Amino acid sequence: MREEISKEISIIYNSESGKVLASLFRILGDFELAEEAMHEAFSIAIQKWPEEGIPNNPYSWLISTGKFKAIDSIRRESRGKEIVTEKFFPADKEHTIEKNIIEDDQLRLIFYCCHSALPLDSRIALSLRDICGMKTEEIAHAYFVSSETVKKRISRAKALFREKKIPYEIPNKAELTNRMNAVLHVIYLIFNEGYSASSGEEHIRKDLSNEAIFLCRTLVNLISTSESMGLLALLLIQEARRESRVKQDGEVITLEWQDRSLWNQNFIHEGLELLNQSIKAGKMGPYTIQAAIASVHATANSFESTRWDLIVNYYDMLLKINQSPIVELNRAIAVGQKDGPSAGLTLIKNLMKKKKLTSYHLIYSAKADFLKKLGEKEKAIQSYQKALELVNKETEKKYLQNQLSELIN
Amino acid sequence: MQFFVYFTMEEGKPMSPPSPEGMAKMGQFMQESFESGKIVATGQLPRETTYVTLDKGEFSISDGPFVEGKDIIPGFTIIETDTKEEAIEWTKSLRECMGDGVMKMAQLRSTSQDDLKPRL
Repeated sequence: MREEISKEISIIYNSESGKVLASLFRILGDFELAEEAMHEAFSIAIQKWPEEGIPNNPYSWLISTGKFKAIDSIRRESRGKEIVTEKFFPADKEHTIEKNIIEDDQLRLIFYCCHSALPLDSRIALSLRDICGMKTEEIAHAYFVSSETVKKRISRAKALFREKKIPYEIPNKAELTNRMNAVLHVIYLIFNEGYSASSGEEHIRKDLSNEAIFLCRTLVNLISTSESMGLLALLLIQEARRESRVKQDGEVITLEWQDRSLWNQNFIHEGLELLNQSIKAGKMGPYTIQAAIASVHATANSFESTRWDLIVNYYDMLLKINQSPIVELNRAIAVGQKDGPSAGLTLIKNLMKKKKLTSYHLIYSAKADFLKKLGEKEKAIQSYQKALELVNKETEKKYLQNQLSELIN
Repeated sequence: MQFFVYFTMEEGKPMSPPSPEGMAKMGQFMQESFESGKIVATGQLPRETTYVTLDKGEFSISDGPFVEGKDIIPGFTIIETDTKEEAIEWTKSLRECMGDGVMKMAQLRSTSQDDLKPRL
């Protein structure tokens, strides 16, 4: 029984701690105080719930417990903080907090943790810990850094909150787009960190991606803009392909060779629905366009029968918004599929002439792929070798080595 | 003139997303419509509806009953055109991107002194 309840508490921690923190932050008006109060509330829950049972509304229980603990500790330490409790949170109403107040609390916390005045790694650490309810050690483990590093990143954020007096608020309409972009960027980075293949650590990485999806879902439920739906669509369609991307020994499998029957059709379907809404909801932004590209792959029966013409069009749209050489490279690869390897090769050579991406291994491996298809074996070998010199990730190294030895033999 | 262009769910028929080609066409089409200023607003009506009821001087506020099946509006667009014909052409183009099915269109009539221009 006891064990069951503590399991239950840890589930509640995962799903509710972000909400509890968000509301306590509003009530107490101080981030660090709110954090302490949230942790206090959970440790009291661990003592009391096994005996008294889990309250009907754990969320409200945790908030009022946290609130009283905080008031106690302020009185004890006589920090002289002004408590705004009564104004925001009349005592008699504490068990019927309206849904929209909870939602506003959550939104405010998301915007706060992803504020662009904070360094990116602080935003990521803070979001994972305070919105997703991950423990410091778990974050450290997922990012292959020490707990100390994560703690430093978080305290850096807290110092900046104080220094820059960052307000705890939902941004107004004029600021909303920029602030939303900052949030979406954090989610995108967390997902990518979790998605980049890394042997042996696959399960940890998957957690990160799941947290990013959780965060994005929360955001879409709170504000569904074209781009927030677009990003969620992108994450779901990418996640759908997870199982097919890596061999047992950790070597990456490129899209061309992935077993499409392993793709998670539920995720794909949900992603397509969202993409559909996102396209109708506003001007297509970068996340929506990337989701659209992913959707073309996800609905193709094979690599060969992929609608490369649509993909090239989407890359053209993306280039209009974002003149990035990486996008140009991806477009070149798509053109190579649509119009043949020599068309792709010409574009890649043009990029290289402009001294773009010259230390990026993927441009050499893409070049090598096209050269191989054109029968230029020697040049292809050289290009794979160049890619191998530049690649960092073990899993990709394995892939390139196999390509190379296939050519040599 | 402003038109409320929308579609509703067909009972028992789950909405399937359009083909990649349809979505690409729709992306292009919506992009152009946004740029030309033809679209005033886009949105969707969620399932959750709040009922504000006055009964013998007593107000009651309740969530639900939730909208069901054929009454759900998964997406709407308010467009501004010079003529009804233009609005019909626009609606036809959107329906083409989505594939077979019904698209509904109703003119928003102004009842206030100023011309009705809901900008969401």
